[in-house]
Order: sequence, then structure tokens, then C-alpha cells
Amino acid sequence: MSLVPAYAIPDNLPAPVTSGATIQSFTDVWGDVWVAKNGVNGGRWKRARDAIYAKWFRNAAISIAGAAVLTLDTMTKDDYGLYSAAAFTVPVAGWYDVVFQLAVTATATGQWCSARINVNAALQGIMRAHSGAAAAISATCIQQLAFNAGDTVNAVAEASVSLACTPLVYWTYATLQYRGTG
Amino acid sequence: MTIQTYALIDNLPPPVTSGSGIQSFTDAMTGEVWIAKNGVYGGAWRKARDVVHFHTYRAAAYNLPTASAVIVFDTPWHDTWGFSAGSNYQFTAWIPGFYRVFSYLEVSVAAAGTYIQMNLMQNNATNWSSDNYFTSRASGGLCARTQALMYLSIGDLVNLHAYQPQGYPCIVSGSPPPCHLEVSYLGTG
Repeated sequence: MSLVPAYAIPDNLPAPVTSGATIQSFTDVWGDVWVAKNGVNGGRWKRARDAIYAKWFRNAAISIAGAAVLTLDTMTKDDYGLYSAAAFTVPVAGWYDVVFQLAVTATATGQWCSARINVNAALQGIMRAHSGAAAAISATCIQQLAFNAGDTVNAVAEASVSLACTPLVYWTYATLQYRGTG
Repeated sequence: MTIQTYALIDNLPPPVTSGSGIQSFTDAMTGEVWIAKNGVYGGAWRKARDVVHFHTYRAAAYNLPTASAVIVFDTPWHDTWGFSAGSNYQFTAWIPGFYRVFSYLEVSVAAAGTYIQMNLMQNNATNWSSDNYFTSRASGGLCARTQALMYLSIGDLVNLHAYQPQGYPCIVSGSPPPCHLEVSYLGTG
């Protein structure tokens, strides 16, 4: 079997990004996707699989009833500013893991809540939890999805009756993570 | 201006331009596993962790079996590499290693007190996910999910076994529809 030379060059990463406000991407000759953004890591390039990750959660009290986009009001980690105006915006095309967990405090048995993931305002995933008692219940929607750059991802919350959302980082949160090109 | 960034990649074979299967290669410097396939990215080598992602779903009307059996998915989604196999569109491992496996079902139930049970299986013989009973407290949509970190050998099959005692219908609307199986390669272990 013939072999290519022992030394290979990931294809000349561009210079650090020092202007503008959007995330830049670059694909090297090995197919690895890199990202850079002015003001993040000095504008230097990082592999998307290492860098494209965001987690936000709900901290303020809110009631959940009919299906509506839930605003996650507190950031845990989002170096590249993927989440804004109640939506994640996908920076580069590829496969992503998306998680949305919704917790509410049920007031009786037989109630339910649904955690939905919408992409470009269309439903892509849903998970529903039913109450067996008057206590907190949580539904975790997990999806691995193929996105185009610019797609928007919303966390949509719904409950069978008006129920108080259970806030905090380990109860009601959403994450977006790039996994690769596919 | 560009910055020259040199990295040592240990003798990747040339692109794969014949045959139909997925080829793999482990570079000696880093242990990174690469795959290539004739007709995919021009046969160029790609890091397995970057490209081995699989998602298959159920699009046609389907009632869950009333006793544990293989769930018949019918449509692979963005399956560039052709990981799906067989009439059930299950996943076939072309490289050994650890995989993150996840599956989700949603059915429309007519009553409270019923449930869905799911198992992720290797070669229809080894159960990798715990038994998961998701029970309804009302009529309507009943959702269930299961996940596992699986170690697979070359040629291993991964599929979902599940049942719902009344055999209620899966929800198949949406794009892609919700009932699905997904697999991602994580590394060699």
C-alpha cells in the first residue's frame, strides 16, 4: 500500500480574528472545523468540537402553561455567545447534541410537563413527565440533530395546567454542543 | 496573513477510491482513528470522532409491539457514510470503541397507568441499558427514552428492543419524526 508523506500540514489556519462580531469558521485539509471570534481567546482558532458549547438555565420564577418559548435567563458557560433572545443560533453546520430539561412543581397527581426542542420554530423533540404526587417533576429532552449554520434552537415549555417552573441550574436548563461534521 | 501550523500525522493512507466498505486507520503518533469510504468526501480520511454520527427514525405508521421485540426504524437521517443496516435500519459498528447510544419513543396512549419499556441491545443478545418504565398518568402522549455508553467491536449491531402492553401507535409526525435511535463514536477507550 502506498502512503502519503509522513508530515502533513493542517491547512494554514487563518490569522486570529480581531474585528467584527460574528463567529468565523475554517475547515482544514483533514476536515476538522475550527472557529474563532473577535474577543474570544484572543481571536485565536479552536477546534469546534472543543469550543462550541453553551449552557444556560432558568433562575427567575415563572409559570408554565401552554406551549411557549422559555427564556433561560442565566448563563453557565457560553464563550462564543451562542444564546441570545431566548434562542441558540447554530454557528457552523454539523451534528449537535441538544438537551433541554424542564422542571415544574406539580400540585396534584395526573399533571404533566413537556420539554420541547424547536428548530427554526418547528418541533424537533419532546419529552413529557407525568406527576404521581404533588411534587417536582422534570422532563429531559435529548436530541442529536444535524443543523445548518444559522439555524435557531428554542427551549419550549408546556404544562397540563399552570404550574410553577422549578428554577436553578440543575432543574431547568438547556445545552448545545457541536459534535462533528458527520 | 496566514499562520503556518504544522502537525505530524503519521502516514495516512491515500484516499479510498474503490470498494464499498468503510476503511479505518489508526495513526501511530496520536492513536487517532480515521475512516474513509469510496465516494464519501472524495474518499478522503476523516477523524472518526468527527464523522461517526448516526440517527435513524420511524416515519411510517407503526404500533409498538406488545412484547419486547426489535423496533423497526425505517429511515436513516443524514447517513452519509451508510452506517444503517438491515431491514430495521439498525447501526453497524465499522470501528471498535466506545459509543454513546440514545433512543426515544413517543406513543399516543388512551389511558393512564400504562407504560413503555426500552432496552438498547448489542447483537440482539446483550442488554446495555437498564429497563426503563415510563408510566402514563393520563391519556395523550407518553414519552420514553434510554441511553447507554456501549463498547462495540467491528461488525456489532445496535438496535432498540421495546414494548408497550397495549401496542399503542407511535407518533410519526414531525421532521424528523420523534421516535428514533442515535449513535455517536466517542473514542477507542
